[in-house]
Amino acid sequence: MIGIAVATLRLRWLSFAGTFVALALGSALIAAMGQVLATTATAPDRAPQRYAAHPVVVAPHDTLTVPTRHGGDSAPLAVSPGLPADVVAALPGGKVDRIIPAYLADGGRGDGVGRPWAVAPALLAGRAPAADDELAAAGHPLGARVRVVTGDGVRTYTVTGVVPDGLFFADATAAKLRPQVDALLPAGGAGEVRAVVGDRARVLTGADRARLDPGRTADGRARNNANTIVGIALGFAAFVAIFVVASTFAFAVGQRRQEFALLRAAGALPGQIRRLVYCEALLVSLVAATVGALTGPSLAPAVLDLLRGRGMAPDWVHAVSAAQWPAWTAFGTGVAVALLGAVTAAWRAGRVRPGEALRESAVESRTMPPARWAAGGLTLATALVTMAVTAIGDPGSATNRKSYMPVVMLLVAAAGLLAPALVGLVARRAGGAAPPGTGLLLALRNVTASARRTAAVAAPVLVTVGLAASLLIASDLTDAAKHVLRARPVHADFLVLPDGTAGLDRQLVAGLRGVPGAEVVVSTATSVYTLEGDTALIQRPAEAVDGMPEDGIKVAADWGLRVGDTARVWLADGSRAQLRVIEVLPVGDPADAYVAASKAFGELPQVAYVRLRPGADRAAVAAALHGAVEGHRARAVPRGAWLAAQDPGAAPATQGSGASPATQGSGASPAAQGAGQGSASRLGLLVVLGIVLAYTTLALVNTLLMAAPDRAGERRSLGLLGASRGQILAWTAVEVLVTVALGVVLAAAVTVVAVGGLWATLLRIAGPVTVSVPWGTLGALVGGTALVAVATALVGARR
Amino acid sequence: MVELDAVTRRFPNGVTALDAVTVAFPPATFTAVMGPSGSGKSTLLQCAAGLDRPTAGRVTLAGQDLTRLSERRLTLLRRDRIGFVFQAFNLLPALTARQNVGLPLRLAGRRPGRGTVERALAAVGLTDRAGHRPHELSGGQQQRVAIARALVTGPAVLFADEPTGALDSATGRDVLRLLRTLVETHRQTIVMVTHDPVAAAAADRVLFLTDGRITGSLDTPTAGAVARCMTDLGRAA
Repeated sequence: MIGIAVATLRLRWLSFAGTFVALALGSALIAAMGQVLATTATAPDRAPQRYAAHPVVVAPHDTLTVPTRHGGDSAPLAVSPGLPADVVAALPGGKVDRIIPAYLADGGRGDGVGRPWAVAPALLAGRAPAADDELAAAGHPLGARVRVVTGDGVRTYTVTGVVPDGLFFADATAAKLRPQVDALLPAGGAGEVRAVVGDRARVLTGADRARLDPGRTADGRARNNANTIVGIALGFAAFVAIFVVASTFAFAVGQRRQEFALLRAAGALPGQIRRLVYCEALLVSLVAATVGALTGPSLAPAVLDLLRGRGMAPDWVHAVSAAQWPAWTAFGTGVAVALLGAVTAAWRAGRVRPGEALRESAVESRTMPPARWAAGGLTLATALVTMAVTAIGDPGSATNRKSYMPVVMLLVAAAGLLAPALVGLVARRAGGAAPPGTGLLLALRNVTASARRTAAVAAPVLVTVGLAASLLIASDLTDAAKHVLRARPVHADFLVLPDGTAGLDRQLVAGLRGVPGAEVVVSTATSVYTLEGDTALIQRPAEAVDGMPEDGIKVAADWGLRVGDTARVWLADGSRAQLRVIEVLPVGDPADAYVAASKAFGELPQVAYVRLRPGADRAAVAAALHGAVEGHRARAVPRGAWLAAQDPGAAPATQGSGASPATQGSGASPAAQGAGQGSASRLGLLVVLGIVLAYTTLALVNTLLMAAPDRAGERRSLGLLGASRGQILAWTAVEVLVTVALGVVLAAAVTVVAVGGLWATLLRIAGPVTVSVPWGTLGALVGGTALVAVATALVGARR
Repeated sequence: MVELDAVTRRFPNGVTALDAVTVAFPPATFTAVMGPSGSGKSTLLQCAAGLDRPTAGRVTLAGQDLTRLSERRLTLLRRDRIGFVFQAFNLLPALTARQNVGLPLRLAGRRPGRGTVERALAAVGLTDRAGHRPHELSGGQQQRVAIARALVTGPAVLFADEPTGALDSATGRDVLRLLRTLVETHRQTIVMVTHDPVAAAAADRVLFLTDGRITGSLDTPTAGAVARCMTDLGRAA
């Protein structure tokens, strides 16, 4: 059998070229992504930055741990409680560190942090700050007067010392600005310090000190983003490769029915035929997977650079992992994918009846085998049921990309499986038409005469256009819905937002409250923790706002509480509290809970909502607000302007600011955070689309090239009937265009179902959302697909 | 050697291709089956050769009832006892003439002995073309490779479906002469379906098939006699 397989491959290499490319591409992708994954997952953390010069650091606990039925569960604390005073007292001689939010009022450079002089590096010039209005800074001459925004407000300081980096207050000043101690740098050795501290705080040494670095969360996010995107790409590369191999193999087997029939007549058992097909798949895959596994790893640095450039991968890792497993995995997966893809083809080849060898040409078998009906029907049912369950049970989750992407993909996959039947349906409708023009008439007849052949070309078009249209439109739709949800609860006339800083300082808030004719509510993002079923500690996003009773809480419906119930929670600093439920929030409210402003524990608010009192002069209030924010690194915007900036249509601008170091460093602005996450999942979406597109294009080209020789006889007879070469080529092009158009029509139908379902689901939480169709992108996609199809068909027809 | 007993073949679309046909093909005879298009002659061949299963009736080959065999047993039987030659597409395009001839042995899991294959090729006069692929051979040469392959297992019966249909008349005559020689010198049993009176004249006996029934036979035929019979059949129909 191997002999026959080798001989077949040598003669029919074109039939296997598509399979070869799909497998080599798949293996290369898997190897490259695997290498990236090996790099990002195993790379050491960034070395300690802030405390690099200090061997031992005492820091407060940063997690809340509560006893549960299964021993205990913990979650990261939203607000650091600071080191207990007795720990600080127990370690005399230690340097006290405080992390004070501090920004230069002129917006100059800096990491947004001021610290006590005790932990400052060596002076370059001048002397240590001693008075309350003195500081040591970088980049300012001695004696310069600089305005600095801290939580307390704006104040002018005199630069008394120059340091290489950072902003340092006198120790006493720092203690006033931030009473809590964020870290202690003790004089003694680690063992000694641990003995003193016990379990009252963390004692960090070596690489563990990096946990206290400011970029730590962003680093973790970068690592997660890289792992997620690469993981998605990995899964898709393998998954889609199976389908391409399956379809090209099925096509190749369909073309060789007579050959198999001849073998059967000559005494080959069905099992021998199946083994022959598997053998061919194995031979192709061995070579293709080797090529992929060898070339793939060299693509890894480029992929890593790409991700790093978008802030989606650890930027402190430069050496790509030298691990061997990605190449081996890629090789093994390539071979496995080929054998899996050949399963249906082998089964069908084994069922060829020996009598078929007697016929002049193989008659097209049934358009839709029952197995395909079943698979397509099941996939469709799964997609529709999932959609319905989400719409009825949990419409809130529909705005999540992770929840609707699988539904859209299932729908498209179902349409792909049912494509021959759908093509047949459309073809029967159009079959009776007698259009003017020989080309169109021939095209229609050819397209409708062989639904299966047409479906083989229309299916890749359907998947390409359908998936791209559904995912892009659905993505915009959910963004729009999220925007509506964010904007709806905002009834303020003006919003005051920090301009690249951690929040609004207290002086500014007081100033805003003093604006005549304005009613001001400030809101601070914080967290509360609940213990679910005595097993899991859940961190829930909450807003600390004015006007809430101290012991009151507003909760989302999924808390399962009613007005008047008592909510047992842990607050942002880890303290326990029993709060009375005063309201259950409606579905779609962006926050999970609202608590009193004091529950933010000194964290600065990220937004102030300003409403005009009845009779207040809008222009006067606006002017007063602008005056109040002046010099405070904040801006006052009217509601309309804010909404426009939040609009998904303006997403690139938001994303741009999200990527700027200032906002990324603070990571506190909900808008900036949302944009960052959106960007990561959008990149994931584009990666998925890119991979699917590459494979569907491959399938399209492959099918057209493989099918072209089958039609040579037809073209010859047209030539004998007096058609010129140009006419024949033109008719070929028209036929392909009609087929592509059919695929686009089916894709449009799938998109309408997918987007319609999502729209109906979102209707319940966000009301009617405007559907925006990216016509330009989709037009380019359809045009590109048509161009590729026509070019390939013409190349095939010329051979 | 091969006997059909009241064999009926009805297709799912309602067409009755064979209607209770009873016929025997004795050993070392050359029988031609003739009939107009759609008369059921190909179906007769397929049923007789175990490529198709009759709806009713029995087919026996050397005393063995083919209709009772499983698909697997039938395939094994075909491999060892039955040879085929078709009108066109007889050879695997990927394999050389020698490999094509050795194919049935290979499928049986036997290493094709060089002597066996060379003898079969010599019998059809193609020893010098053994290393060529089908597309490098003429139509007549391809057909002779097909005959060599059909004979390599030493089959009880050789079935041929329009073996000269795709050949010019001179090459066709060569192939018919080859078949005639096989019957006379190797006592090979041959059943051939054809619509060409000249081809039919090479046989010992001609059976005429119309609408799935045997409507006549002619022993030691000549081309002229066969043609007359066909014309009569056409008029009767």
